[in-house]
Amino acid sequence: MEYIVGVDVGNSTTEVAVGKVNKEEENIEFITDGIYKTTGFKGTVDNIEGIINSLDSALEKVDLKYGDLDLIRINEATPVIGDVAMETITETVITESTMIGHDPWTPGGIGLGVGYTTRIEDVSDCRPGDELIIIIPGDVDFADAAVLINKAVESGIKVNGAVVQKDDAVLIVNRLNENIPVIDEVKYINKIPLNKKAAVEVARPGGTINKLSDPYGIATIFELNSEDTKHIFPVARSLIGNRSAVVIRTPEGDVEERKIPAGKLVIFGDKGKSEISVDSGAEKIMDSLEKIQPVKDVKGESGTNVGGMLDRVKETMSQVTDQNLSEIMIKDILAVNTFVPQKVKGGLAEEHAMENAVGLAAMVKTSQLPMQKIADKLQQKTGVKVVIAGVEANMAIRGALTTPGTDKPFVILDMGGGSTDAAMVTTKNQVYSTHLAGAGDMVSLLINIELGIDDLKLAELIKKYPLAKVESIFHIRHEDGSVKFFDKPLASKLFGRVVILTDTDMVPIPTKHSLDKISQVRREAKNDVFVRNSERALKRIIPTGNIRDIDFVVMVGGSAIDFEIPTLISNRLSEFGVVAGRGNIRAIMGPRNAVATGLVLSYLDTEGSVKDG
Amino acid sequence: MGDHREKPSVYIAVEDNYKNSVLLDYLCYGLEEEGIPFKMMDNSAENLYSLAHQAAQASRLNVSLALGENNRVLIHHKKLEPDQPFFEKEINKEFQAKVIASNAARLVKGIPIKDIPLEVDNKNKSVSDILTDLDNFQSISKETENKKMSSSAKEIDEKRIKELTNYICKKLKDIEKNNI
Repeated sequence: MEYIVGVDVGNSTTEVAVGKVNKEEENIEFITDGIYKTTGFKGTVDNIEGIINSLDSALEKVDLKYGDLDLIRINEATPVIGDVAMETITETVITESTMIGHDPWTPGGIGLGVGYTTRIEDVSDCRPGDELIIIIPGDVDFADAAVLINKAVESGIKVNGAVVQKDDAVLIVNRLNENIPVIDEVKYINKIPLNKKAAVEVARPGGTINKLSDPYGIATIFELNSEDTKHIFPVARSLIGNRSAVVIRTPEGDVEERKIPAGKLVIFGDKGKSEISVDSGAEKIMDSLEKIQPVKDVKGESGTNVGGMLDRVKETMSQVTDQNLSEIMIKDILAVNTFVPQKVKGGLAEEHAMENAVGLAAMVKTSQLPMQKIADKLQQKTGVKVVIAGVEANMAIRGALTTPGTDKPFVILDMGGGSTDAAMVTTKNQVYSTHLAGAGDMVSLLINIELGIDDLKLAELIKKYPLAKVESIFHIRHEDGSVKFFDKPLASKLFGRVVILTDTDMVPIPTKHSLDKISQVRREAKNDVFVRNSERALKRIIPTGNIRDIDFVVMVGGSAIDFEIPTLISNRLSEFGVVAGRGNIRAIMGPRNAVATGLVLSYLDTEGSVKDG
Repeated sequence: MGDHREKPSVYIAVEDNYKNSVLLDYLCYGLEEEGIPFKMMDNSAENLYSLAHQAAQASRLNVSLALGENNRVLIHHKKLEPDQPFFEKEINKEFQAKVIASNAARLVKGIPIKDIPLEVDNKNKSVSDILTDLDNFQSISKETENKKMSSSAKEIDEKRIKELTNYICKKLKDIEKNNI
């Protein structure tokens, strides 16, 4: 009887399985397993710490010591790492201040007002019949402002609207004799040009403006010709969906949506190379990538985000493997179209515009990782014989086949943090494998940028856990509409917010986004990365290229634990008649421990006994 | 349960010596800006918590505001324990009262509450803007210095602000010099 250990060092976790082998009966009984965060980059000597921790946690459970172990089998890790980056490809710029398109919580009055911008202290200089939009800076009290406006109106001046710096719109309107639209919380009020024609529009509560969000509406107000109307179109577009807005027309004023030159990607393949600029969008990038398969290398224009990211991945890999930078090749990229909320340059109320962006994940593969170094060091530390055994893909298949209800021909999708790996085994035990860029980290990046939260840790939580809305101090509503009540009042900082339900805690998301919007962004990010990658992977590894030719897909790896990724993939693949589901290694481990299990299982057929050798 | 003939409103309860205070005005402004009706309530409880709690019980919107000793403001909700209000804070600026009141309104509306800023937002002012402001401020504070101050606390406050102002002024001038 021998104790055999399988060790799988992954990009994010290090997993261990320990089996008791009865050689005569060719029987292996798994007695314990362990998991720990991978320390350092996969394939470096820094991994030892993680391996030891993982091993210790496994041995502790069954009260074994290093001395009881006969052999440690460590996987020939696939030298694959990935990284992600984002490139914004459009920007909205307001040259001269021509619009204020923000949504204060409480604008005042209802309707559309047109007039010339005048500061409230200058109203006394105006003559009866003048049409005004009054600008009220923060140091003017709302009651004084109301008195001044009322007086002006009595003397025959037409005050048609107002723009206020503080949160005072309703207070002012309530004290006026006539209803006018008032917009408040305009932070940079001093930047508003004076004596210019301006229009203020406020919709009824729950409604949206319809004059200033329409190019012809603006053209009517400002008497624009067809050429000018073209120019103000971005203004109108950016105001759609607002409850209130101000548009000020200055002769030189303009709002532009510019395309930012975002750098080029050069994809090298066996059949030649293809050059494509990032701002042509994700579809075009992916198209030219597919045309040129198999990819030998990808280069990015230096001085751009993309170029920087690709260089960084290569550099990391070259350090890890001690290989020359020129030998490191990028084997795959995944491009995803996305939107980034960006502050409008030149805006007066911190307006944001949704800009187009392209998210990119890249994956590098080298010939070999220095696994032997790790094996030697581990042997020295534990005093147990350590061998490098088996290719990762084969081991993963071996382990995944222990999932009840599976059989060959069969595909595993290993979805981790940095890359999506796939392997297929045919009935004749032929194994095909592939590695794709884009996995869990890419999803976090997309969530982070699309929601504009600027906090990767929070984005990671949004990815991992379901959401709920805190509807009262005593209850929350889940994504599916069901309600949960609490005995104790919830913290006031959670009130009214969308929260992430982690295992132990509720984490508020500090944005105005609705629960639906956040869950939609989350799901789309997972779709864009994992569902697309699963299709890409299957098309590449299935010898016939036809997804219908396989029956079983088993999902393993960290991202397969996710509460919705397996269902999303399963739904998509069911359209091809494929049975796809989350792996359940050895019927108890779930999607974890596939490679470690495979390493122990393969001991019998390849290595024979250590003691014999 | 509140009286059903009453209009649904947030109840405001204040201790006697705050009945005519500016802070009370600002609480009202905050609710008015959010469009939530409010009503004053007669004060009959021994401490601010039970005062706020009683007001919340009486409100048909289940929410009350209370103002009392040390400029302490409470937001209370009908279903909370008397000594565990939804929010409480001692404030030192009038505009903070307005923000807290709008948070009470937000509790009624079911939207997230705002943070209470310590200062009025002065973002986006350039260095020279701030310098002009500071100059104005200095001349104002000089004027007030000549007048007799009503409370000693205010005097300390003014003094401290002046010290800080001078310090910031110097710093900013240095920055501007370096920039040029």
